[in-house]
Amino acid sequence: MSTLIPPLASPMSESSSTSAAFVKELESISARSRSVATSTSSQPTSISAATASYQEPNRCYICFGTDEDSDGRWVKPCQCTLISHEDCLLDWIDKNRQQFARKQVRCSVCNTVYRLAEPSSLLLNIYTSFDSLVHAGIPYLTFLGLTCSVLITSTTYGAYAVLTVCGTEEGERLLGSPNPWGWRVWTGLPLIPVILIFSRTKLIDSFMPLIPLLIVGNDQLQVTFPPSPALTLSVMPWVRMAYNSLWSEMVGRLETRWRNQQIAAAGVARLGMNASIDPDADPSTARGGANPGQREGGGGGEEEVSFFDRKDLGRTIVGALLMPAISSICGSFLGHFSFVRSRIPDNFHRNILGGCLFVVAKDLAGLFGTYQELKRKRVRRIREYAEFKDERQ
Amino acid sequence: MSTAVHRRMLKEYMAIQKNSATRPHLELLEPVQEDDLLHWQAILLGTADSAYEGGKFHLDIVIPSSYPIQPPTIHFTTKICHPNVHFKTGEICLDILKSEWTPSWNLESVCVAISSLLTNPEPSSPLNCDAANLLRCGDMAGYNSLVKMYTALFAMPDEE
Repeated sequence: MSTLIPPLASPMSESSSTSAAFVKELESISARSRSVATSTSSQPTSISAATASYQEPNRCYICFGTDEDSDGRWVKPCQCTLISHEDCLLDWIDKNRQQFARKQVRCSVCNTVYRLAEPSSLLLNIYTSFDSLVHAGIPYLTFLGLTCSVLITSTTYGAYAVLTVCGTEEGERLLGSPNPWGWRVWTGLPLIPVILIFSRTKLIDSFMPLIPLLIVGNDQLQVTFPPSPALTLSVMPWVRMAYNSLWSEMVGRLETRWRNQQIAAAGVARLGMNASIDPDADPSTARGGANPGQREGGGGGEEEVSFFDRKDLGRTIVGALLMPAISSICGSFLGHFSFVRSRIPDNFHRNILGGCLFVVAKDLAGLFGTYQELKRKRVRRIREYAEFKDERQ
Repeated sequence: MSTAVHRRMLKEYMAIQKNSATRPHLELLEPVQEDDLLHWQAILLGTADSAYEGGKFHLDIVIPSSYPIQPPTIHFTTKICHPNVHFKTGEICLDILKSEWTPSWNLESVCVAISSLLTNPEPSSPLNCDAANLLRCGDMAGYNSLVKMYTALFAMPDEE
């Protein structure tokens, strides 16, 4: 019991304990164990195998690794006897912060808040708060969008009802006379939101460029300069494809580079590669040693991909449907510069350019944010309890 | 990650073998197969003087490859009547197996926690509403006899 399971073995008691008596008792226990610990581990990193001979060897409370069978920086982040590898503890903190990035993670035994020393970057903070603002705003935007769509459906239905009851002539006199729409318009208009959403995925890439041709019709396609709206819209899917493949090529390269940096920085320390716990004790060591290599490759890959693909569904859809509005805003913003106005006189082309610039800027910002996050993860570290025990809040 | 999980499971295994004498309510806690440390089984003994007395309750334990960052998945394979255990699936509603999990738990302490859940049910978050309702109404006689009946039906194979 005592060698493998340190005093933490009863975390159950911690849940039901707020009484002063219990706290006192706990303090006396931790004081006792500290006095044992200080003789060996006042500076956990510098502990040598000689001093730890038969007192209490360093053992990570997360992976159970010791000095003999694992590598990694030791940290003692709280006031009880638990120590762990920095990387193991960072994994645990990350898991807790998946939902709320600022969540405070506590030691499960002594309830001390783990403290991280991470560089603060103003740009990254702006990026993260903007990102979470967008995240928080999505439900409201979705609700607004649904309300609008109900309104529009009702309007259309109302027009249909008026036309049916009053007859075409009387109805058109009431409603004003819209030009009768052809089949291209009736299929094209409802397709626009669908295409906008699918343009965020790769699902219909193969026939995306054909769709504008179907809707616009051949007779409107004439090569002129500046290109007519019909031509521009037919070219946009090709531009999108070119941009996407260029982007994924670039991001792919950056990703491999970052991952290499990541491995170089943390990989050695991450895990003790050879579990040298007495191979005769159990046949499973052989398996334990053989398997991880493969799994690690796969797991690492998945983890890395999720960095570039972590937007949720609602965000994708709302973003796609807001695209016309965003392009128009960016276009009118561009219109304020006389330089742009003289080159691109009409609104339509300014809006298209604005939309494209927005997409590029957004992607770059996302890439920058991801990079900064990775960088922060690389350099952050867990603060030793000894460092901050005097600075009480 | 998986090196870490295997190392940890191996050490837990060795510690469990060493302490086998010190746990009265845990008849068995071992890997299902010797060479797979990610799939375990356990047998809980019903506490004496409780309605579960004399029953042997089998647990199936699956260790995720991200253990101990993620908790193990545990369910009863023996049918058991308990407010916090699903009667059909054997799913267990216990906070430390979900939101309150921390790496300082280990398989042994989790099994002890489940064992103590048997005698300390929490009827406010039930998976078995019938059992929980009996408890909430304070019908201890009804609850105990129901539990005794199911224990005799499903958890005492030898006496049939």
